[in-house]
Amino acid sequence: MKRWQSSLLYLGVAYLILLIGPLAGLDIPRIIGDIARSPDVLVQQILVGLVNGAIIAIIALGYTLVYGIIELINFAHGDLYMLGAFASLTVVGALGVQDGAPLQSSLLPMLAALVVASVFCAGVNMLTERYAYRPLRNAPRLAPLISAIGVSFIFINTGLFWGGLRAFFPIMGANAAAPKSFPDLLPRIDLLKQFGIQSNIAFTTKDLIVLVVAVVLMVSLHLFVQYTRLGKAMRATAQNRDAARMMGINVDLIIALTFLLGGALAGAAGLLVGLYNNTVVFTMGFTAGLRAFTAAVLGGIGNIIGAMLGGVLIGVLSALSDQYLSSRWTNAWVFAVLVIILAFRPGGLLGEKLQEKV
Amino acid sequence: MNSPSSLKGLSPRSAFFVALATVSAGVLAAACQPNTTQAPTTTGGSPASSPAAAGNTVKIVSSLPMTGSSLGQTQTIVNGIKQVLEESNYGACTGKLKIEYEMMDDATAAAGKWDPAQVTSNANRAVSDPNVVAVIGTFNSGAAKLAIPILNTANVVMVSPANTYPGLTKPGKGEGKEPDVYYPNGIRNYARVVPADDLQGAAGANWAKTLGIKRVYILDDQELYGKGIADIFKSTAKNLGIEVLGHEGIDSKASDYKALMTKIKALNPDLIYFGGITQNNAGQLVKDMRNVGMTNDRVKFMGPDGIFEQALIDAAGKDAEGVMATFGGVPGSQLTGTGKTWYENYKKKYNAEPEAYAAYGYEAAQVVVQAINKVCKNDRAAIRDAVMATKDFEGVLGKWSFDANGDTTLSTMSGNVVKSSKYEFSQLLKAQ
Amino acid sequence: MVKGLLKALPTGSGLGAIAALTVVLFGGWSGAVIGWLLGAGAGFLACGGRRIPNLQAGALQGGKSGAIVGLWILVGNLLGKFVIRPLAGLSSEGIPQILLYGGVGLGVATLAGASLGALQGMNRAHRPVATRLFMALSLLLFPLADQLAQTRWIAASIQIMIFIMLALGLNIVVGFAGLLDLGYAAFFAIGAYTTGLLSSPQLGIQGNFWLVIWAAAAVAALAGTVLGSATLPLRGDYLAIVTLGFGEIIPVVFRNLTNVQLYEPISKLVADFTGNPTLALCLLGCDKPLNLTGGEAGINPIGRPSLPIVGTFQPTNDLPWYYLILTLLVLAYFVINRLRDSRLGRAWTALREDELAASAMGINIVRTKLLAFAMGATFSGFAGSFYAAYISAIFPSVFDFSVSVIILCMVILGGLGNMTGVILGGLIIMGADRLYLPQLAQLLKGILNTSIFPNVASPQWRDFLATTIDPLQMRLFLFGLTLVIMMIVRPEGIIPDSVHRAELHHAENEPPADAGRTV
Repeated sequence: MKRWQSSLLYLGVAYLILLIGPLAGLDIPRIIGDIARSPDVLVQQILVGLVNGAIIAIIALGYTLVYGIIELINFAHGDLYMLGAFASLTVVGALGVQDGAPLQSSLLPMLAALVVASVFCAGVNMLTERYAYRPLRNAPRLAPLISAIGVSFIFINTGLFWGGLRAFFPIMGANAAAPKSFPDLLPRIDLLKQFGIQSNIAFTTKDLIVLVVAVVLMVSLHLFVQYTRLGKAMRATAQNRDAARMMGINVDLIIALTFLLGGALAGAAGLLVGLYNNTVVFTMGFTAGLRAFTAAVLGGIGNIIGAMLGGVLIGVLSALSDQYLSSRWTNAWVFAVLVIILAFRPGGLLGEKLQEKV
Repeated sequence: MNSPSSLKGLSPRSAFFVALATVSAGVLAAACQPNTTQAPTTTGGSPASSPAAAGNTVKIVSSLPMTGSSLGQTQTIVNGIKQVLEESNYGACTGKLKIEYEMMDDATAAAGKWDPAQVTSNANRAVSDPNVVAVIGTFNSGAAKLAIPILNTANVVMVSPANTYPGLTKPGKGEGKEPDVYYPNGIRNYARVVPADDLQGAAGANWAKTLGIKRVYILDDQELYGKGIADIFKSTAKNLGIEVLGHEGIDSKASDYKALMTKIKALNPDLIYFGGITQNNAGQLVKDMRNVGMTNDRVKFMGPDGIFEQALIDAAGKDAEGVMATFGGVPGSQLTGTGKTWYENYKKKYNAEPEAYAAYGYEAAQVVVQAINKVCKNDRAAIRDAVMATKDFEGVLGKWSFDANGDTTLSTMSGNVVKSSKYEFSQLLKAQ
Repeated sequence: MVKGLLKALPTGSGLGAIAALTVVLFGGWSGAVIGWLLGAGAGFLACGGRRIPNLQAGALQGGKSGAIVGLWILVGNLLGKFVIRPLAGLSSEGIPQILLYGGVGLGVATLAGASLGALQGMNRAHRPVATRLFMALSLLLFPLADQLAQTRWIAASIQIMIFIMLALGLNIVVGFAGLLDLGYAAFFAIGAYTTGLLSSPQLGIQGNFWLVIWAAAAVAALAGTVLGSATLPLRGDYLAIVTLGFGEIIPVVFRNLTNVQLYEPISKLVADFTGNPTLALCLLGCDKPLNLTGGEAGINPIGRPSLPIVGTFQPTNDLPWYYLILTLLVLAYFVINRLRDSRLGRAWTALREDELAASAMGINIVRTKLLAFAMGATFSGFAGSFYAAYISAIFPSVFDFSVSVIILCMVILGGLGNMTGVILGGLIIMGADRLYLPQLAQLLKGILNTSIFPNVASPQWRDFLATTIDPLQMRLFLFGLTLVIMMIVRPEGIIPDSVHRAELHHAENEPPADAGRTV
């Protein structure tokens, strides 16, 4: 395409957006006015989006890890994270932690929940791999996808049953299908006020914890995959399974370990989301999984930093759309931006690094 | 061994004829079978197979989404229905009639919620089973639009414990030719024990006015029920002089609403009204509202009967304190007489506080059983007429009748507020 | 005789088990109906593709397989009567009646197997025609059998056929051209909404269904082309995510187009900044915002088709609907079948196997891809249009991601690219979802209530059983389990697409000039 042709195309797309956009709340003069009137709202919304994006990114890490190694879109991952949230809720409930308990008394139960949820999800994920995906390793590329969808349904239903365990865990509440309240345990201290800055912007320790956990997880995962022996074996397996096998790598074991790691991440994410959003419901995994999967692809699937970037982008975009466009249209806006980005960067935001793999 | 003629002493041809003979016998039998099914000698019968013994068995069917996200509410409806049937010992007319109950699921696993094709198919199945005299359902008003016309032509009555869309019954309140399009044979066969949106939305707005609310922000869950009730709330609130700061639909599957609540907080309302059900993330809304700093003493949260249940309190935890809900009847704990017995029985049986939809389910089934008791035979049209003619019925919602449209005349509603993790009755409300 | 039956055991037993399950779940005369269908299937499996010397040999062999299915039905009847129904606390008919059900099932299954086997004994030229005729006859008579046997499967079979049609359409995109589409329900929605808008009071247009259905297909095809052109540079999972996005956007659009008012953007901006609203150029809905889609309430009622003798199709009578969707489905099958063997079809295959090589061979990649999306969307447009008319209402919530996923499952489970496989995949998944699983759940609930619940003493466990492990809520679980097991049993799909691969290898031996002309 010649240069003038492509610029014409851009102009055309921009015009179309301006034409149709107002139907979905894109009223530019109003938005400019809103931002000029209260810029602190913009900052606040970006912060909200950032933290939500970090949560999406943590779930997306699990997707990207599994995708990177066996090119499977693990549809069940979102629901595994939901099971992780249920496991954490069960532990916290069984240990009798009350809503708003002080940190001294809730720290240990939280750690216990972290361990239980991670181990549980890791185990479940490994078993799933063994019995639902491994038999399909040499099947057509899309066969494991269907298996994953089936597993996802099984998990959703398991979550529903779990939610009905009121006879053993009173924290589950009266109704199996209803959302459950997760005790609010993380301290909520407004950081800006703490440092003496007076503003309308709220940024609490709770938000900070989520951001820190996300960054730590991302960096350590990145380092793990890049520099440890196991990480190298994982990359080798991802690049060429047969060659890796010939090099003496136990491919089955490596894949199982990848699922183990992905499961542990899902468990941790479940606890974190439980602590941050304070609600657990059996349907929460499907949408979160969809968002996370989108984030992983947007960032360039298989790329750990890309997953983070994609997650944050989606989070911020939704927050801004809720604020300035219309929450009815947020989903459409998020995916429209995704489509536009991928139309111009077909390999995702950070996708080039992977080109050699293809 | 591998050839097909390994049958010793039997040539292929004769074997073929033997087979053919058995087959012909089978076909003959098959040809005769319609007569045998209709013979009155057959007893009992599986739900799907024999419609025999018509006359002393009637069947009530419920068509509700039992898969997916509305499950919380529909379970309680079914609990209510079953309680009625158990109380009447699955019989009517002092044992002359046997009442069967079948629970149909109008949702599918594939869709994860109510599926229009499934609604139509359930309605047709109900019609084609001669024992079915009444349908209790549907949960979603959209589903009712499809089921009513099918049942209408077959004279099967439908009593809904949950539909609130006004256009289903009230002339002039819906669009175009509603509600007449739903009743092709011209006779009403649909009634509901819940007050329609136009009553409850208005009651909510009136309540807000008496509480001195000045600025309200309205949300809905983008479903027919929630959007409808929110729209009515909005127009009534405007008429009453309450400033409406905005009206938005939420993505009921989102994991949180901090961005939305941040936006609302900046507008400084003193009430957030949510048209929708608990299952569509009402709990998370309440939590995030408090999370971004809208405390109960500054901003109230109000919703319709879709959030009048313990599940909301379970979901919102300590943040539920002060949440207000309207309910199209008197809450269980305030009941006297029949209602009180029901309230205590329900608590004993299901080990849970009876909720809005349990009461509605119970009431719907009670109305149907009461009509069957009047008619005392398997006669769809007569039972339909008996249900539609329900007058001065004393049930668990109070004393009420069906009006000519099939709407409940009960206009007393209650306002309830969460106090120490329980809904507590606050005051009686009027729609007008 | 016994030995012969033993030999036929393997071919008959898989189907027989399904037949027995059917009988246990549905009871009554369902054995006769399922016996006919599965008996014929067993007969075909026993004889199809083999050399059968004459009619009698075929009838014998097919009849034996059919008889195995029939025996399973008999066993199923007895099992239901003596074990399962008592366990579930259900009443059942007397022994003679049960034996009659089983006997008829046995007879019908044998007859069906024998007749299909006999047809396989015809000479090569007549064999496929005869088999198709048999199938056509079975499908045509199915409603009658359903009526006689009181099984009430006809409504479900209409829904199943709608989804098979969708699966066949998606198969063009995913199976033939190898483009993973996760938002296929969007086209279904577009077809349905086009029908809704063109034949309902919403816009005051009451189009004739027989014309509107073509419009719906055309609009869907157009949407397919648009989506295709937006995704041209994308491959693999990036393509998948964009189609998913498309599928997420479309329902939101239909849900929210209730206040349509369009302004020309540049004039509107000028008007806003100069503060002179008259400068804004209005394009649509100027006097009063247009309510295009009816929002959550959807569009209702939608006009129904009518025919000279039949009259207007009624929602209470499934027969005309059944024959209409059957006709549509058969037409779609033949068109897609011809498409697959056409130049375009071969171009799709080449595209699927290797995009680069295909393009090097002179295949116009852009055109081929766009046509794949457009053709796939067309059939979904037909299905959507039928659906809208059948339900006579349309709601935005019907068309979300899970529908796309289910259709994709049918295609992959059946065997990517293989049309018979895809049809079977649709039958199995939708049959499980609409017919078997709800019934199975009811039965399990009965068993739990009558046989297990009374024996549990601990109140905790009683509460657990009563509220948690409710089989009626196990539907999703059973559905997921079905998917996983089916996939593990047949990783390549029910009928793997061997034909296509062979075709491709065959093409390698031909002069490449043929492929070069495929533009």
